[in-house]
Order: sequence, then C-alpha cells, then structure tokens
Amino acid sequence: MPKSLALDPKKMKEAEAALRTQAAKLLSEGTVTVFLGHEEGWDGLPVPFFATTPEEAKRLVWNPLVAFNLAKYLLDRLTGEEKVGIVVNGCGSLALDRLLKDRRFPRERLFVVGIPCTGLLDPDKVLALPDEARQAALEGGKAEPGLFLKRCGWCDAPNPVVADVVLGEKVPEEAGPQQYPRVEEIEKMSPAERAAHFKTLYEKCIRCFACRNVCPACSCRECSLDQWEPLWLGKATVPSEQLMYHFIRAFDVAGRCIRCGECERVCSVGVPLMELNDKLMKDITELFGVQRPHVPADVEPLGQWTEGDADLEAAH
Amino acid sequence: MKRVGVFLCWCGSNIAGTVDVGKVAEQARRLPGVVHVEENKYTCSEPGQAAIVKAIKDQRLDRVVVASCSPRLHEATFRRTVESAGLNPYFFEMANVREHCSWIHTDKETATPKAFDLVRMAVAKALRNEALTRGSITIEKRALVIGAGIAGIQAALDIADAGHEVILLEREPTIGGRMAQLDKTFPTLDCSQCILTPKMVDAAKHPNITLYTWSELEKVAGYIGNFTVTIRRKARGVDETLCTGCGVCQSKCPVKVPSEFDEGMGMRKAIYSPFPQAVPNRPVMDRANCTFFKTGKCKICERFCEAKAIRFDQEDSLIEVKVGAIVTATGFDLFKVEKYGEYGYGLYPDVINSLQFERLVNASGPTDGKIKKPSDHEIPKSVAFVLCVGSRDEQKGTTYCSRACCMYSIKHAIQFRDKVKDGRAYVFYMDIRTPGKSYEEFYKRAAVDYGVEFIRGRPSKIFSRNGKLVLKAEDTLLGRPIEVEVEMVVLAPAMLARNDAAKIAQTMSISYDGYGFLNEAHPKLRPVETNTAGIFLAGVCQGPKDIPDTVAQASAAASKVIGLLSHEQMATEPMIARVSEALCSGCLWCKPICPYQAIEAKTITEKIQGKVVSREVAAVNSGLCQGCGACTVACRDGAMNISGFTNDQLLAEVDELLGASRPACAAE
Amino acid sequence: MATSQEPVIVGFLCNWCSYAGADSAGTGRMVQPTNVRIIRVPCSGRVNPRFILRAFQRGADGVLVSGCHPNDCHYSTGNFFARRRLLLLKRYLEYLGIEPARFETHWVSASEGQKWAEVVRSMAERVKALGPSPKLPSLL
Repeated sequence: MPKSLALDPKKMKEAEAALRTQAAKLLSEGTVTVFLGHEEGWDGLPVPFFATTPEEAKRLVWNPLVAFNLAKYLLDRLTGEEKVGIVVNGCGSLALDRLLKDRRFPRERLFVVGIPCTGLLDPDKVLALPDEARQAALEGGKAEPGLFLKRCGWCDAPNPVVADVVLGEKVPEEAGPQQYPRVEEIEKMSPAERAAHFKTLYEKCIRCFACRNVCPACSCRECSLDQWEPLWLGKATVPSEQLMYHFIRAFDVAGRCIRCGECERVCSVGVPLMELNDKLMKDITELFGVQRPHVPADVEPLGQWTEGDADLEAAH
Repeated sequence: MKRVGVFLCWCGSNIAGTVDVGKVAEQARRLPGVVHVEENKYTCSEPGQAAIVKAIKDQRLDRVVVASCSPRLHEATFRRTVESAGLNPYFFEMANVREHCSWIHTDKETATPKAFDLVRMAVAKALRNEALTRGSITIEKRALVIGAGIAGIQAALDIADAGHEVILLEREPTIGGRMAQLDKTFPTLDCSQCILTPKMVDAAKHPNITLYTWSELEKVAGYIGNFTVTIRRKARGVDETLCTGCGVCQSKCPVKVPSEFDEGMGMRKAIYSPFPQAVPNRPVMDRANCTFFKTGKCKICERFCEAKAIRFDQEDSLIEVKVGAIVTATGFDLFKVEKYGEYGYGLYPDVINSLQFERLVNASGPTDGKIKKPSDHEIPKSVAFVLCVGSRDEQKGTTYCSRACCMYSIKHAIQFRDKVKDGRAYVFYMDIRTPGKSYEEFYKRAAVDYGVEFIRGRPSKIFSRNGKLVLKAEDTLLGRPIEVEVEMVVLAPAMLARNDAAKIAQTMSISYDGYGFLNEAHPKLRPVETNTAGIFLAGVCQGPKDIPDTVAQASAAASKVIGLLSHEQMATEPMIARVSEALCSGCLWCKPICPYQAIEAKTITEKIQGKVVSREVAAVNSGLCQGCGACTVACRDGAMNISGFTNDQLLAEVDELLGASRPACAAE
Repeated sequence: MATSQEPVIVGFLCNWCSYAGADSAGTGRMVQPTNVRIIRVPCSGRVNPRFILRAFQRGADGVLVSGCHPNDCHYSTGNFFARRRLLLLKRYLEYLGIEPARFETHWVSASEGQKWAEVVRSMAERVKALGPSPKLPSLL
C-alpha cells in the first residue's frame, strides 16, 4: 500500500523563493493586504505566519515541515472586506476547498498561491531526530517512509485543486482507490472486541478539542456539541461522553472529511481518530460509489440519494 | 416553573381493560412539573373536555398532556379544547396509550409500566413545548388544470362555472384526450364524440378558461394558494391568432406519416390537426417530419395559406402563471402489447390493440367506421378479444386490474356483432369484472342478445395457420385445451401510468406509487387530494378507472379547488422549520435537501466589535415549508429546527425514557 | 432506567406512514411484545443519527426507525435521504461494537398494521436473544 514517497528538497527551495517573490508582489501591488503562510519558528518548526508587508514576505518558508493547515485561519478574517492571500499544497487546497464548499469564506476575497507537493514530513518525528539524521531528511531528501505525514501515504491530490497561480511544475498524480488497512483490521474483530478497542482508546480523550479546532470540516460558528439547549452532548467528563463526542463528530464530518489526518496528528493524548473517519469514507465509497470521498464535492454524499441506494430493510 | 396537567383516559374499557390507569396516575403525580392528574372515562367526550378546561383554569396549568388514543385521531380535538381555555393549543401533548399500548398488549403487568413510560415521555416533551401561532397566506384565485382529457375538461368547467379563472394545459395539439379517440361508451353506447365535443367547445369558449394546447408543464414553484407555474408553449409553426383553421395547409402538405390519433391505423400530414373536431381548430407543424425542416425546401403550406399564418421560425416560449390550486389530470399510457411476443403483435397485421379497434369502429376514423382487417381491408368474419394483456400478470405486465378492459371489450364484441351480423365474437378472459351501474346487465346482453362467446382462459399463443389466426388456450371452465380460429385479434392492453409520471410528480413534489400512479393523500378519506397541499388528482393519473369514475373524480377535485379558492386567506401550520440566525454558519447544505425549495440564502447584518458586518444565513419560507425536518439533520450547527418536533423535545423523549440526568437549566 | 426490566427498543416513526401503520396494528388488535416505545417524528428524514447514538448511549437495547416506503414519502424525498444516512449509520454502529440486530430500519405504510406488528415481534425477539446488553452503557 504506502506509495513510494520521494521528497524533493531542491524543488521546495525553489518554490520557497518563488513564494516569497509572489507574496511580496501581491502585497506591494495591493492585491492582498495579508498573506497566510509559514515562518521559521522555534527549533526549526514552521509556524503559521501572516505577512502584511513585502518586507515580511521574505520571512515565508516552504520546506518539508509545513504541515499546518492554514485554511482554518481564514475564519479569523471573516469580517472585513480585505483580500487575503494564502499558500496551499495539495491537501492544503482540499482543506481550503472544504471551507469554500461549506461557504465559510468568499472565494472572491482570496488569492490562492498553489505549490505542487512532493510530500511532507511529520514535524514531531523529524524534530526528535539526531541533528545529522534530521539534516539528511530535510536537506538531503533522505527520509524514511515512516517520517512522512501519514496522509502522504494515501495522497492522490498532490497538486492544488484551488489556485489562482501555481508555482512550479505539476507533480504526477497516483490514481487508484483509497486504501483503509486499519479499518479493515478493526472490521475483522468481534463486536465485543471492537467495543473494547474504542473504549480503551477513546476514553483517554480529555476533550481538549484540538481535533475539532484543526478540522477544516468543523467550521460552525458555535459547535452544537458546546450548546446547552439542546444538550447534544453531556458535559460530564466520563468515558461515555468522551466517546459520544468522537462518535458524533466523525459522523458529522462523514462525506466532508478530506482525510488530512490533522485531527489525529494534533491529538494531545494520541488517539488514532482517523479510524472513525476512515471507516465512514470507506463505506461511502462502498455504499454510494463515491470514488474519492475525501475530495470536496458540489453536493455532499449525504445530501443526495438515488433510487438504487441499497435498501435498508433488505440489509437485515 | 411549568405546571403540567395530565389527563388519563380510560376509553371505557379500551384502555382501562389492559392498563391499570390508577397506578399510572399515582406515578404520574410524582413526575417533575406535574401539578394535576385526573382520570376520565372518556376524555374526548364533552364532560372529559370540560374537565380539561376547568383544570386549566383552576390549577393554572400551562401544559396539558392527554394519555388516550392516537394523536392522529384526537390531537386536533384536544388542541381546540386547550385553546378554548385560553391556552396556546401547541402547549398540548398526547400519549398514545390505546393504539400503541392497551390494544396491542394483553398483560396488565407489562402494559401498565409501558403506558407510564409513554406518559412521562409526553410530559418531558410537553415541558419543552412552545407557544406557536398559525400564519396566514393570501390565496391566488386561479387554478391550473394539467391535462385536457375528459378529467381535465370536466374539472376546468366545474371550477370555471363556479366563477374562478382556470388555465387548462394540454401537451397535444388538441384537447379531448383519450376519450376523443373512442367510438361508443359502455354501457349506454353513447357516442363518445357526441358527448365529449360539446364539452371541448364549452371549455374553449368559457370566459373563465384560458386554453394552452401544445404546451407542457416546465416548473412548479410555490405552495398552496401561491403557486408559480412555468409553462412551455411549444412552437406550433402557426400563428394561432391569424389562422382561420381552413385546413388548406394540411390538404396541400405532401408528407404523410402514421397518425398518432388514429393509433397508426390512418395517416396524417406533417402540418396537421389530429382530427376534424379538434379544439382549438389550429394545426401544428411536425418539424421532425416536415420536408422544409429536413431539406430546407418546400414551404408549400406557406404558399397556400391565405391568412399568412405559417411561421417556420417560431420558437418555444416560456410563460409564467400564478395559481392558487392545481388539478393534475395527466392520464395514462397503454401497455406495449409487443411485450407478449407469443401474441404476434407487430408480426401479424391483424393482431391489433383495443384502442386501434376503437379507431377502426369509429365512424370518423380512418375506415369510416367499417371494421376492416389491416392486412387486406376485408371485413373479418370472426374476431377474438383477449383481455388482461399486461394486466394481472406479474411476470410480464402489472399486478393490478386495469378495470375498464372487460367492459370495453364486451362493448367491442357487441359493436362487431352489430356491424357484422354473421360474424363470431370471442372474448378470452380470466374473470369478467363488471362492478358498475348497469354493467353486469350489459355483459348479459352481450352473451344473450348478441351471442358473444366468452371463453375463460388466457391464450398461451397466437399463430397463423392457413391465412387465419389461431388462439391456443386452456378453457379453464371445461378444463381442456382449445384452439379457436379467427380472422382478427384485439388485445386489451393494461392502462399504465404515463411514462414520464415520475417526472411530473417530481416537478410538483407529489408522491407516486411503484407503478407511477400519483398518490392520493388517503385511499378512502382523501381520494383526490395529494400530500402536497393545493394539488389535486383527477382521472387515470391516480389509478386505472373508467369514464364515469374519472368524471366523478374530476368534479370532486374541482369542488376541492372551488372550496379552496372561495377563501381570501388561509391559515398555515406553525409546525415548520425555523433557523437560529445566531447559530447558522450559512453553509446552506440544508438547501438541496429541502423537497419544497423552501430554503434560501438571506443576508443579515450584525454588529461585531462596533462594526456593522453582513453575512449569509439560511432562511425558511414559511409558505413553502411543510415541516418534514430533513433540513434539521443536514444542519450540523444545530441552527435548523422544527417547531413542535425540536431537537430538544426529541432528545428529551429519549432521555426521559432511558433515564438520563439532565441538568436543571435544560429542563426548565 | 426504563421502568420495565425487559429490553427497551426506541422506535422513531414517521407521522404519516409508520406511526399510522402502528395505529392500524392497534386498531386491528394485533398483539405485540411490550418492548417498543414509539417517538413520533414528522418524517424518517427528521431522524438525526445523533438521536440514535444518544439512545444507545443512554442504554437502549435497540433502536428502530420506520418510515414510508421509498417513493411513498409524504414529503416525497425524506425517506430517501434517511435511507442513505441510516445505511451509513448502521454500518458505523456495527463498527463501534453495537450488534447489527440492535438497529433496524423498516418501511411500513399506514395500511400495513400487520407488517408493523411483525416488525415489532421479530425485532423484539432478536434483541431479546442478544440480551439486555450491559455493553452498551459502558461502551458509550
């Protein structure tokens, strides 16, 4: 399954230079008043950065560690008229498209700079490496498959799906059905084993809501799970409610999840959250024939039907 | 704190026989919020209702729960009771402890706790009931009738006679429909044209009726009292205002194609009127067959048209009309008898279907009413009529009985025997069904007075032998195989829903059954209404029927329309969707899910940190919304809700039943 | 907890077909087990999967959703949307460790009292066979 991953640090360096030039141009010409990208943070970890002058645009970076999903920062800019620039790679553009399809940000207020992606590394893993190995991974392009972000393993959209300008050449796309090996393993368990599996994993949740905050499909003004009336979710920090939170959230983003896996990556207690999302995506493909359920569509899979949908009565 | 009154009905022994009502009352008294519990023999009776009114006043109740029969039976009754005591009627809630409990259980031990569960669920919901107010809408005093067969014409005339405007829509070049194709009608043998054509003329001349022929329904938007309908007026190729209907164009046109009106038994031209009594008497141009449209040359019709009415460059046009009610009378198609390969239709020219026979026997038909075999134009000396071709046949056709075929085939046999005195008529049937006034007598006359020979059996094969057609069957009364030799065979095809019935239904947001027949709101008690308020049904589009039933149904639909249009305003149900603008993120995923196009984007402005900003949210059109609630599930924000079935109420029912501890603030 | 010790099945029934069908079963005195508690909703399309998750969380032994037959929906398309959603939900629940027999969806028309009674009888039997599962409250 995991496809051949080949980092191209040289290409990324070129893209970084082009990005700085492009962003500086957009800012100096007044096309945008702010540009969303990354800058070098503490210990080499890129952090989100909002450049507002051509001068600041020089601080933008583009390297194998730019894993953050920038699209959700747009929600902070909802009010106002100003035009916003943003840089996206393939999965970043899916996140952006998710917000656009959910009508959470006006396309006309965006200038999107796209960069075809040759893969990204998991910052947590890379930054934990000894200096030499880290150097080799980041600059020499010698990264073990295990260092890549999980999502790179199933990525079929390395080229931006939304962009006003694309920097660099398109990278070849690997088509083919999405694979869900973890889900298949869980499906093989007995109901009791599955129940125990989820209970053990999910009761660790401390409801820090990092998963929800990073998710591009979770963009409600006020999360319904925070509401008091109706009380969709109990407030008590007991396993039952922790599990409900995740079970509801995964079903809420069913058909809209872009499979970026950020929820899982940012989870502060290491819960493999994508086990739920992946299951729903796998079933959406199997039941409704949606071949790429992670790619935002004009009509979401649960917002439509066909006469030929499997009959539920026959299902038992 | 809310003050709930619970009224437990015995319904004589209907409930009290299986449920220990006293015990339920005792437990109900301890429910939070309940301040009054009372038992009644019959809560729906006058004293029962009076007790509710009295308790509301004496106990200052602000919520009322009645545990009795199904809300589908008495919810409206009790809402009125509650309203008469000055309480908002939607503060009332019902627990169904009869149909859903006492009537289906036998053991008091288990039925009683279940009844109490149902009561406390209703109390939990009632605590969250809100005061709702009915709205009102203005009614557009005009009706649309779709389809101008006998059903549509009858409905249009009735509505127009009552003084309301009617738009009568027909997709064929003329009104009249199927009935115009028929010769005589059973059981009286009235001439179909003689009784129909005067009605066609009445419809065309009626000052309240606007006729649109050669026109199709394009779109229906809106709701009861306020539909906006888009009609496609297909290019006729003829300026209707200039044309005098002289018919010269038809006579000069050099193209001949099989006539649809004559079911292929005769020919028509490429510019044509389907039959001489067509209404309006204006031809249409059939572009698919017109020489000019095929080759760019001809225009003979234009040359001879003295009125200068021919328009080769005419295009379809769309018009929009506003109506308050719609009658759907779109008629039927016939089963394709070719599907019975063993009957040889298409292979043997003298195997025809019943509608073709109607054209043959019709005095104004292609043979001037002489029954002639299509093969050699000779008069057949023997004819077999085969019933149930496609009807009552799950394998090849439909399961249902088409209802009219027995009678019209008997009529055909009589007509044949009348015209061919020495001829023999056979009717192959499964069962002869004659449920109608004077129908059985008609059948007897055919057998006794006309010597029609009835054979109970469905032919297994029809084949040609020595220039004759042979029907092979089992005579199931004699219990032996038979062969009958005839010169002509008439197959009685099943009546089918229009092949585009589903599309028509979807255009109007009404439901249809597995066969494509449009669904009435209730098979017995609301037979001409649909589940979409303001849309009514007439004729075979709802299910197979004969002319008398069709006319009766058309008049029934018309009376419903007249009743509706006689009001200036009508009340609207308040249990519909509503949006919390504060919560709505404006994603509008609810919009494509709404079957009534009731959701639109709306721009609102609000003040954020002193700045006025605008954003889009979903807005519900209360006239369009029917309260199905599909939108609420698509709404992840929790911004969309259905009054009367709110998320909070439904969750409260679940929680109450299963015993969750809900925080006090949510319950209050 | 529910008052009775028997397994509890929560039924979400659409007002127009299935609720009326359950009424017909009552009118026809078709004897059924006492396990089902019916919650009336306007349409099967109104049933939010969250209601079903909630019911299981709070200890329901089974959940039953019943609506009009496909193409027969009072609101023309509500049950088609429900069918999709609930089909996905059914697999999801199974994945979460809830035995498939605990969640069922049926199409029962207003005239199908007989069918409704049969649905109740057979589902109650299946759920009883699984036992009032202690797993559910502890799982969720």
